[in-house]
Amino acid sequence: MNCERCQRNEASVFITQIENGKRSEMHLCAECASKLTIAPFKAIWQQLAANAPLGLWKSLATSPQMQGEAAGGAGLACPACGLDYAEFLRSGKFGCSECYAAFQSRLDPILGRIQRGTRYVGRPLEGWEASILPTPPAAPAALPDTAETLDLDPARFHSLAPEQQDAWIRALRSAQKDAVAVEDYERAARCRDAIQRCLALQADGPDAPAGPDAPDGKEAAP
Amino acid sequence: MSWYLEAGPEGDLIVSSRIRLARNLKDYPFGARLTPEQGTELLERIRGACRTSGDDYLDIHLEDLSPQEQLSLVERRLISPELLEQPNPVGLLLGRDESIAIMLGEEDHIRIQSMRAGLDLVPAWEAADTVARTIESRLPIAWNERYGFLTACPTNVGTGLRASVMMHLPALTRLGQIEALTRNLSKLGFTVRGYHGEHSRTQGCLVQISNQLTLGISERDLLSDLGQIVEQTLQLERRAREQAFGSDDIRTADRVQRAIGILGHARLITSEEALDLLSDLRLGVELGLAPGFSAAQINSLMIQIEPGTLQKSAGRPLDAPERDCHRADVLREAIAAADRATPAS
Repeated sequence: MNCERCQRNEASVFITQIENGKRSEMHLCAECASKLTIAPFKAIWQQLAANAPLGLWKSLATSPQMQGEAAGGAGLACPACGLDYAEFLRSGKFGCSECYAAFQSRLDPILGRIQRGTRYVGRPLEGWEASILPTPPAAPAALPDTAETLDLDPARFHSLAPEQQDAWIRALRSAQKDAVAVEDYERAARCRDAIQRCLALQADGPDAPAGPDAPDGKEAAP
Repeated sequence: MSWYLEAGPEGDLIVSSRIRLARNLKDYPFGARLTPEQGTELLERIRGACRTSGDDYLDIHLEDLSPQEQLSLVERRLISPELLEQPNPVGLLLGRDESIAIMLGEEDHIRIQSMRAGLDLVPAWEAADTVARTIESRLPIAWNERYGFLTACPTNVGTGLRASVMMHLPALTRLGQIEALTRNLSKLGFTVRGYHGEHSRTQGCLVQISNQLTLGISERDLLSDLGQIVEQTLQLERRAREQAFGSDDIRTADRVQRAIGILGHARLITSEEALDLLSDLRLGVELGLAPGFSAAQINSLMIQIEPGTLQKSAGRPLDAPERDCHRADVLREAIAAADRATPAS
């Protein structure tokens, strides 16, 4: 028997597919079968391909809320890859990583429905440093001005929540960087000392007496 | 050692644990929207980063493999069937013991998979995470503080972590409880699928339970939640076993021995029948009714009798009747070997 696709080579691969109770057979040569590699096991894995999250997405995408969502996001498109918001809702797939920023204003309700939460709480990217990024919005109320930061009041520092203490230290690091950028090394050194005092206070806990000034030269400014 | 050649913790009821981490490079569109040139360049960058990492990978060019060899990779759970369907260039980096497999160019640029026998989620995740950290330190990865690791599908964003556990649940299957299990776990954010992914029929009484949620939960919490769900399902299965098999020893022994009889003598056997009989045999191992057999051996047989792996070992394409014949040969030989290894009682 010849291959029913090329009608030329001897058929050596026999594929039986049962779809909606209908049985169909394909007789192919090895060459044609290799071009259709997926066909024989496509049916087997169909369910896996349309796995639950995507199924969930489809039922969401056709819901009235999502239809309203699409209308609300009309005109939004990703400047990097060109994907528009309606197409994203239809396919359930982003076009590139920039799409997250482009659609950010409309993502939270969607993520809220398909995820546990709308913010990341996993481990940070390897090599990522908090200090080079803007201060998170949670802490600004407690952020000291620079003069206050440098003349550290241990009691005030201890009264802060741990994440506010971290923000304080981040602010100092940022001030240190700024000082180095304008070659104000004296100020950079004061920042450095303040950072070391903060770290010591954090390590000792609230009951420890305020430590002595950190010895010079440990973390020399460049 | 490959997960399917051994039996891990809770190996009597749990076949394997699998972790998948999704990562993407900045500055390239996601899988489906890559141009062929971008796809090739992307693959080279990732291969290069992995080559110089000091980890030892087999760099497998899927386009050079026969359809049978490709299918066998799917059956061994080393690649997803979707990887073979991508319009863009794809690749596979395979750890020497097959416990780590990195798919390149799937829906997400990088998908790191880690597999372990038995219930072993945290070590499996740690192995995948080590690979992920190495890649993250060498390539610009799409990540931000707000959403974490950015993925093509919003159902993977955040940790990009999908963890799944394959369990053998003959009693719950026989008592018709799998559908209820699926419904209940789905409310809790977990997916239940069959061995081949079908929802309709649970082949060989095997089900996979995996997490649906990836954002708003940390990796360790996610694994611990899944671990708890699996433990609870184990307890359900153990209770169901008392109900299904406990008071009727001779019937269960009969079922196990019949399975050994057919597997040891059949000349033609379909994959579906074989998986069901192997499930009975596995039940025998779990209940101590099948001396000479082990869960690890059954794991390995389950892979060996799948179409692609059968054809790969035969070295040529086989049609369905030929496969049934080869499958029966493999099973008869395995049963005979176990008989020889068991001292006559």
